[in-house]
Amino acid sequence: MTQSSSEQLPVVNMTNDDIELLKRLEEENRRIEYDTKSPANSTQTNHTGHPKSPELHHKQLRQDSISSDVSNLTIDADGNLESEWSAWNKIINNWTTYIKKKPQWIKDMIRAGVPIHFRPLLWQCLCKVETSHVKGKYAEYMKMISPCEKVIRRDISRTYPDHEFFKEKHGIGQERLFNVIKAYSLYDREVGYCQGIGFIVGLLLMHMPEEDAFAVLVSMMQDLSMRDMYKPDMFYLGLCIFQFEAMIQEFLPDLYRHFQVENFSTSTYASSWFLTLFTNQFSFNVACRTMDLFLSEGIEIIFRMGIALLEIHQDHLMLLSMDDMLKYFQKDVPIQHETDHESLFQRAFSVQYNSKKMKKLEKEYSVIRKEEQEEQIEVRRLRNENRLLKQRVENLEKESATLANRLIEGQVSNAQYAEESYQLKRENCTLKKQLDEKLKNATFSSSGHNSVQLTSPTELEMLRETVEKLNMENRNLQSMPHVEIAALQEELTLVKMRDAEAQVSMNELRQRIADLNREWQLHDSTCKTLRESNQVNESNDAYDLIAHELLSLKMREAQTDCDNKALSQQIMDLETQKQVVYNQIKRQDDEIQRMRLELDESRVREQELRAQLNETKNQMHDGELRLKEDSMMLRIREAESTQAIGDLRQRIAELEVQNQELITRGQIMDNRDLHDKLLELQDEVMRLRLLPTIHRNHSTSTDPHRHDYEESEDECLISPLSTSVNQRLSSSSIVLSPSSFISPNHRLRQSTPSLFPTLASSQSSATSTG
Amino acid sequence: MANQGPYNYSYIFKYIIIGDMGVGKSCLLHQFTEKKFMADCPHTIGVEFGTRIIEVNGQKIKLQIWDTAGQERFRAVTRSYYRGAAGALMVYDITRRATYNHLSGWLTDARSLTNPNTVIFLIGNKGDLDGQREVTYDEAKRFADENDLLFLETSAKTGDHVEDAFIETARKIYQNIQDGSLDLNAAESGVQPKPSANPRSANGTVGLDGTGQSGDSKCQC
Repeated sequence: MTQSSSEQLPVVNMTNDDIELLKRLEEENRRIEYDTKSPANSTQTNHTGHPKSPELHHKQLRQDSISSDVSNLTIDADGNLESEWSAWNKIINNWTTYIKKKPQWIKDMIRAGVPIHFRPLLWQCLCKVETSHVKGKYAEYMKMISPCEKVIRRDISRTYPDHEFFKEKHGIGQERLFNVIKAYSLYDREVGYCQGIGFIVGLLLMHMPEEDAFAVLVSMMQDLSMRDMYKPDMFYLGLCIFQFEAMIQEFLPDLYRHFQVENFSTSTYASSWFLTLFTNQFSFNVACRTMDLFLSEGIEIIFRMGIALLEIHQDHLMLLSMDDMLKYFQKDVPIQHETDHESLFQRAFSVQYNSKKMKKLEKEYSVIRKEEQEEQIEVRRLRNENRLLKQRVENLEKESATLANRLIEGQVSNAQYAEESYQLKRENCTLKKQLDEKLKNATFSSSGHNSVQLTSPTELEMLRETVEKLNMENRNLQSMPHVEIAALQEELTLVKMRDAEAQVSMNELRQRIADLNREWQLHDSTCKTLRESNQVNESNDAYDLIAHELLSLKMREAQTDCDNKALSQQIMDLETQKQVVYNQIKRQDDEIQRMRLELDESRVREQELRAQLNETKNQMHDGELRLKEDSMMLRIREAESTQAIGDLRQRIAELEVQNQELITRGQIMDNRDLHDKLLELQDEVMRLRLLPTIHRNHSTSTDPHRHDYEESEDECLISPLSTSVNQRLSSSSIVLSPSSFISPNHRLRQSTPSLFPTLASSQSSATSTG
Repeated sequence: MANQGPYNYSYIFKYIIIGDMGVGKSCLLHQFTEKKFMADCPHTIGVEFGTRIIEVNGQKIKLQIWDTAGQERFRAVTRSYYRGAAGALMVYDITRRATYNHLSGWLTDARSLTNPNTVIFLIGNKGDLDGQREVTYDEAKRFADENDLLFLETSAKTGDHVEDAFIETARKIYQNIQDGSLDLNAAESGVQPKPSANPRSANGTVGLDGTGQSGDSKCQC
């Protein structure tokens, strides 16, 4: 505050007395500032108890400060300053009446400059802080936690880092800054916090306590549409830049061209002007004065100042490249206006600001922005679609790869199975051969066995019986279902084989028995001869021997019996083994069949999948084609629209030319009309001059015939004149009439009415004179 | 930047610096251009700008560096500066994990708004605050490798590796020019061969967006 006011000093023309006065005022001011801030400092503790007390306190102090200022003034200051201050005093004290009655006067007063001490009060008045209800909510917001707190905190130390008040880390200045920004982020959740707000809040806090600053901020945001500037889509900023660019193009065409050649975009240097209202680059004085004017006149002043700045620096900028221009804007421009800023403001006031045109530009911009957004959405959509399609392609490729793998695996296993089945077939064949052989053997042996039938009829009988039984069984089995027949036949053959084998062994045994019988008979006969020869002595020995032999024979028989049994056992074993093998074969056969079925199935499935793959590929291709087509369409539409814009611009130009032409023609016509009227009037004068003489002649003559003649002549004299007037009028209207139906253009319609009054007046004058 | 002789360099490279709020983008720029650390650097509104002439392989190159505002909503303003950047420095703060987590968003912005040859350099700033580190070097290095980014940890405060980051980027761009992968005539290459008054040739953009699809194996039975 102190620093700022010392900067303010050179602005006022001073005498020693003035300096004295100002010093005193400053003292006073500092006291007031201290007093006003002290309750605000302790808001957090104080507020809960007496929420309104600081406000009231402040109000009272304000009254005091003004009266003390004024009393000081009346004693010391010279008339000019005194009158200015008393005027301000009056304005502030009776704000509501003044702003209603003399808004223009107040505006002019603000343009002329606001004394530094009135500034905080003026700002609050302009923002209707007195009647605002948001001030009361401030304490409430202080207790709440804002989602933006972290982000705000990050920027606090980076806002006015060089300023005394905000320098100290976690000092009073920084805390207040944080509090107000936080309160606003809670008050307006859509805007929340936006980088740039800090500089404005900082400037406000240099002039007033937190709550007032908050109320002023809220009013600025809402009533002066700064919140649109800070909204997440920053639409208003884009619009301002667009409008500002159009203004440059209109007022500073050379500079505009230079910027374009250098590829120097307006937003690079002007964004911060609009976002922070010249607070973050320019000197304190410029910032304060801008704030006065902004609160009084709105965003218009930023445009004015921007154009004024460019006007002032145009000559210099024209010589610079883009880099240097940027540096010039960043460093040199603010420095140059640190001391000499009044000229900047005067220039700004003289800038022609056309709000109608701005409205038109706003409409244009919103259309452009809308189109842009639509395009962006479209592009995003297409990009997304593309991504999805790509993903699908990837997935399908993966699927097809796995399918191919599976196919190969299937083929491999197929081959394996084929091999296996081939092996099994071969085994089967060999087994069948073996079987056949065995069968043959069996039949052979059974036929061999028949020849020996006689030797043991009982056993033969038995065998026959078994054969019969087997045959019966066989028949039974044959009548059984076909599936089992094979197995049963197998079994049958096995049984037959066993039988045959048993018969073979039995045959052997019979043979042996026969041998034994023969031996026995031989032995008997020898025994008889021996008995006959040796009689009793030797017969006993021989008997013993024979008995012995018999015994050994019987032993051998038993042994062979045993052997026989073992053999039959073996046969049984073999039979079971065979059964097992057979079963195995059967199972393998089954398995092979199953495998084949599966293989077929998998082939079918594979074919299906391949068909699906092809289909999806086709779909993909279609999708891509459609995508391309869409993007082409988009491009075409864009090209068309640009062409249409071009056409429209050309038409506007043409119409403007026409308009100009018509205006000039209208002017010429006016001149010509006047000229005509002059001629007419001259004619009239001539006629009027002639008339009295004629009358005189007429009155002197008494001849009625002559009188008639005179009258007719009179008529003749008038009629050519009136016809000539009519002709002229009609000719002029013919000339003019095209304009009335050429003018669909808005501007023409505005300009053409100016032609009609002259025509009407000339007509009326003509009739009156006629 | 002893003598800013206007035409004593053979190329201009355009850079952008992107990344979350308060990661030190402006400080990096200031450290690089002024060789000083600005402790209290006011936060950037919109964009800021700096230049410096460096030497790569004996060639003098002017770096034109655009420093952008970090807040999300400013992307609407800063997006237009991505176009035609030859190098993008993507900055995060090693002491704040959130700034690292947001990198993928910045990266998609950088990739979609610049041309495919733009060199993107990942910078982990505030390396001097190793005690408060929340993102390890290895993790960030892995991220950089996965996404084909160059990577360094820097400190705008001490100046550690700041030069390296800027110069490595330039070296990589220069290499791209040398091996022909960066087409100087493309309007959006971000490289101007010589600072002359010739109007930019609008030959269109680098045609690399058509992704050819080939090699789908055909197998029939």
